[in-house]
Amino acid sequence: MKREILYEYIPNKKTPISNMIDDNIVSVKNLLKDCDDVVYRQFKIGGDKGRDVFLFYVDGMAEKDLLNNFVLKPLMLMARMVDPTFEEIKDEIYEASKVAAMSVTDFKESDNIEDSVLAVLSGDTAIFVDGENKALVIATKFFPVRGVQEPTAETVIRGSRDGFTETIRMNTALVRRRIRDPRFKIKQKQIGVRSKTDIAIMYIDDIVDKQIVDEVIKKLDSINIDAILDSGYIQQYLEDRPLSLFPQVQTTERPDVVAAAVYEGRVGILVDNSPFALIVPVTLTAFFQSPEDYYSRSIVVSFVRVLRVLCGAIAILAPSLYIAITSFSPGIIPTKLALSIAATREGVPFPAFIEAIIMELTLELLREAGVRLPRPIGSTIGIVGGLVIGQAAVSAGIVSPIMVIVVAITAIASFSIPNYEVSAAFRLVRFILMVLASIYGLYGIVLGSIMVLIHLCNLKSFGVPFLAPIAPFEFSDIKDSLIVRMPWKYMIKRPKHIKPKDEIRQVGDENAEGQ
Amino acid sequence: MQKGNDKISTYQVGVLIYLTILGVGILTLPASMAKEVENDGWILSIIAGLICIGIVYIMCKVGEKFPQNGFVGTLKLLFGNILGTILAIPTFLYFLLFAALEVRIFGETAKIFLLNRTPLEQIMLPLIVLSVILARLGIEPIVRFFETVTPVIVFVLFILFLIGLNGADFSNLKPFLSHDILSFAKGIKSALFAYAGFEALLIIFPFIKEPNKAFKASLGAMVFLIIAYVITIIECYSVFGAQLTTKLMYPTMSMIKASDIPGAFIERVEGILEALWVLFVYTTIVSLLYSLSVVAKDVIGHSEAKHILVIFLPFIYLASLIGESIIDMMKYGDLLTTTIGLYTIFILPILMYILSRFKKAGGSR
Repeated sequence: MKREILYEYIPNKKTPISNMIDDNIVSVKNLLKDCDDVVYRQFKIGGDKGRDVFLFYVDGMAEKDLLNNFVLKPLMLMARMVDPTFEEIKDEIYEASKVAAMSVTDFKESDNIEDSVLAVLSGDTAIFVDGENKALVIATKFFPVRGVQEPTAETVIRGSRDGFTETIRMNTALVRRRIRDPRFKIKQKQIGVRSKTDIAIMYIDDIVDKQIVDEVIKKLDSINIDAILDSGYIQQYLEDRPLSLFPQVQTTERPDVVAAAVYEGRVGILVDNSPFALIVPVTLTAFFQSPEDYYSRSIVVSFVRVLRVLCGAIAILAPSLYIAITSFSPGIIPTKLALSIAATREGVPFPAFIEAIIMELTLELLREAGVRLPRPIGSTIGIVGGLVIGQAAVSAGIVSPIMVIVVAITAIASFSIPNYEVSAAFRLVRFILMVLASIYGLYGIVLGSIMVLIHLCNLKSFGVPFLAPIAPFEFSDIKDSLIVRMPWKYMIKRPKHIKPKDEIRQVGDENAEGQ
Repeated sequence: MQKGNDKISTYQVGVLIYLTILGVGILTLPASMAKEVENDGWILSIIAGLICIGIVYIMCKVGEKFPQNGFVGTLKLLFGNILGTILAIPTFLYFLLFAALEVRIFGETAKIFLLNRTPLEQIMLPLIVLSVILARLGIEPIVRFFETVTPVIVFVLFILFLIGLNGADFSNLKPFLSHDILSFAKGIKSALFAYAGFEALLIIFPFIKEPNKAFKASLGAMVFLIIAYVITIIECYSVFGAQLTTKLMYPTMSMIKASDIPGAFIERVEGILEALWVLFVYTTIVSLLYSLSVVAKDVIGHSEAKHILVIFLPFIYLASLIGESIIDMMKYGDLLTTTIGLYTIFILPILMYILSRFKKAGGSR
């Protein structure tokens, strides 16, 4: 059975604006009954015998200075002083005020009550003039906003420091500043039956694969929810497999990341009230890349990328390898090391699996607590967790010191993966592998890895295989992939796996490619 | 979701063929070669490889002529509907039994080198289930999986060859060519079946993006395989000598076990290599099971290959339990290769090729 949203104020219902201003006032006040933050103002143009004018806006969301100085003042006072006088143009007062009287840049017209109320609820001001069946909507949006700040989740040493804020206009401006191209399109939509959240879809028309844009729009149009509070909502609608461990949409706080993605032929999506932009399609390699990679020198970056892949491997495998080696194949490691591990585990009453699970869960607890705690107390978590629990657990003989080392390395490794969502996915994979390692040892780890790999191979983000450009292998994309980044000079083509319409990024020397 | 989940590139064809052939064979190959012709095992292996390339060429010729018909479709076209279907049934059985055999041999080696106390059934069952899961997903995820594990497999082979060099004495290889043609001819059979697996080419032809380049890709895969086999055999002989190699069950593993790496962090590599060997076996099984599902689908006339494998899962498992011990199983393996194996890999392709010469260029269905 198809459920429907029970909401009378649906966009399809439009009440036309009547010629009688009193009717309009009644219907507006009816709609906005008990909304005490709405301010109404009724006045006359041209003195006592003039025409009735009615404006309303939401207090705190509209710019009062602008209304006072450039709307009310010209209409109420200055209109009487200049030629032609009010008496002469009495009938065209609406046209006159639209064309000449108000010195504001941005206004629209609306011919029904619902649209004007929606505009007012977004921060604009609506003006009704007696005898006219249209309303003027002046863009007066001015609400408390956070300024542009350095993004907290994606910090860089080299690179721009501006991050997205909660205001979609500021965010689109931050991206537009980096792409001064008329073919860079910002398509806007409103989603959410009640929240009417603004969504902006950004792409460069002659680079992007049209199918991707169409698919994004199709998926956005199919959303029929009451409210969108954050881009996280949209993200879950965009993903083909929302139950997958791995995110199929990239999130970022940085306008330069969005701009770079858009230049590669991807699609960026901004959501009002959210400082996180979404990027589709995305591949696993993108999650291992930091924006800084493209600004620093290529050799160093390539080294760091190898390091990150290693970190990914450690973050997934370290505890399960510990379990497999200590309980199944101690012969693999050198005899001395095996003996010393056995010696430290001597007093430990639990099997390696339980030991590892205890420590990994403790680590997860510490991490979660560290995020939730207010910042001044947050640092104590490190002391409590690291020193007290680590040290005390070892002295109490619950876990072995080697296990503490393994957990610590795992934690550090998982923090050095640039993307938070992927490192979260890896954490869960880690637990799966630990269970398998406790059953089958090394064989179990390989089986578990195969399982994860099957899933990754089957995953697609907007038609792009998740493991591209490794599988399917694309030689020219290897220049910027998991483990290497060639200098910009040699990256002549855009990534092929995103299937850009225009593949050439720069006019380059063909011979330079192979070097 | 976007459509078109069934086209693979030339490079992917090569990877697919390479990983399908590379399975448990390389573990026992040096021993079986040494049994036949002692020191000349590696030469025998090269000869067998060249013969297989010939068969691959024939398969590609047939495939190029009827690129869209698929294996069973081509059989039906050449032999008529009923006979074509009957001819496909041994092939289907071959894929099932070969996959089961592969699982079993791996299970036995894993029991020796990795999980001494785990029951054989428990080692084999998850492998079969995982293979069915991937084989169900269709050709594109399968080749993507193969491509992803390729670096790991190349790395493992590299390590294997490097370790084998340790303690190798190449004078053990002498004398060369001490056998006459007759003994080579006798030994060629077991050498040929070390390359079994390329018959997947028959099945995947409709999915290849550029059918005329399929031979080039498979040729590359075969050449790399011959190289890998020859290096393995030569290293085993030079470490143990051909005489001793015949006595070993899994000479490749024993070779790794025998050599210790000075100053390495990992003391006994064979455990890790055996664990990573899962990938070699897994890719082979997946490829065989996928071939099985496609053939079964066409024989039955069902539209989706996906559904078939779940039905066959218990049969694969049961087939993998045939034989009490490893000796029984090897005998059964011999029986398998000499009958339906020979039929699928050699007789049928040659028959198809001869008949396709007489048939006018194949129209699509």
